[in-house]
Amino acid sequence: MTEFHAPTTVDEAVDRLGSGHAVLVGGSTSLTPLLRERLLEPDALVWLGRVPELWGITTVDGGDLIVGATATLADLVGSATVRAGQPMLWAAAGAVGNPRVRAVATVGGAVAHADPRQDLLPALLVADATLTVAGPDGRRTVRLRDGFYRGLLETGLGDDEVIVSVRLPAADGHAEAYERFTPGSREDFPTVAVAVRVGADGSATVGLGGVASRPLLVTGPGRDVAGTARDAAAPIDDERGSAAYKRAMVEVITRRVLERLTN
Amino acid sequence: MKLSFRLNGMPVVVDIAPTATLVEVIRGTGATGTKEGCGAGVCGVCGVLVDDRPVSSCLYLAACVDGADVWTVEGLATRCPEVVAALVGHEGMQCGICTPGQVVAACAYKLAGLPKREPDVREFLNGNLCRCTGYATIVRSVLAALDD
Repeated sequence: MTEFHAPTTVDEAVDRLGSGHAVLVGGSTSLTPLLRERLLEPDALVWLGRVPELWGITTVDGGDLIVGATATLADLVGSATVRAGQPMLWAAAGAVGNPRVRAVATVGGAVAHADPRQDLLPALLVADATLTVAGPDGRRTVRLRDGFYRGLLETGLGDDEVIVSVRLPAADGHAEAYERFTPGSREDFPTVAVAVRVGADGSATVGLGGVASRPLLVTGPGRDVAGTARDAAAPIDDERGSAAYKRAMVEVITRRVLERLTN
Repeated sequence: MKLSFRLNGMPVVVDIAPTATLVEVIRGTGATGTKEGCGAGVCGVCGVLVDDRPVSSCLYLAACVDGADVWTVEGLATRCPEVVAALVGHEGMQCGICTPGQVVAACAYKLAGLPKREPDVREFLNGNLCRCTGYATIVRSVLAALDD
């Protein structure tokens, strides 16, 4: 029978991952459906809710934002600091699901789960987030843009590793926005998710969700990037739309967000 | 494993499977006001409060509420009777299936001191699906309950 553990330190959590097939638990909003469907049958569930080092959102010298791995989406939305300093991330967090999901879903969980339809991931890519990760051999930093997202639900995180925090460089007043396009219900996954940051020189960085097996990052001059984003997308036909529709919407939504940011 | 928490203000100690969801455990105590609907955290009928936070009990692992304060529709209807009265008085319920979840959501909204503004109420209730009312009367009910 699966065991349940509630470690109180990062080291204890890492130790727990070292024996058998152990799975980390944040808010369990993505995990429980996998357990119910028997897509995961772990030997142990390791809940991170009691590890104080993983809590909290802080700003450090220079304006970088450090988000603890078990900070919730509601913590992000409720933070005036995040709203002012990282408005794109703030908007993405607020777009997720419904208040019950946001109350418990963790930032670290979203990063590790790597569902390409999630709202947060495109925003984190555009924000050039880096992770601090703890494992049996100590800690390392991982930049999301360095190929962290490898494929569907697949990341560069080892089975014996725990995300400690997510660091976002200060946004430095870049014009930025997040938009989720969903013809479906408000709490559904987006059909197309677009995170955009525009530089003073008109260059644009675009993060895309829902249109490939992993979140995508595209850069280019503002006037071309919507087309580049469309060409980079590799969506599938599903209940949220046909591949052709999603690809067309990538261009439309990206263009729309850029117009909003540059006017 | 042993689980010890407070349910609607009363201490509860139960033996649970480590993978049990909170809704299973709550209903196992006889508090069947909380329902399991979609099992995916989307419909809202499983909504409860855990340490004042609204939570989908169909997804939340029961083991995670050890030592926590859990409130369900039964308890919240007593803490916020004006919410129930408003739902009745302003036709915020028809078949009743979504009602336990609406009561919990509305009480959560009021207890959090959130503003008496229609767009905000509507946004907060977006996680509570209703097939009967078209939502307008529910929103109207919640706004009325925020008066007191």
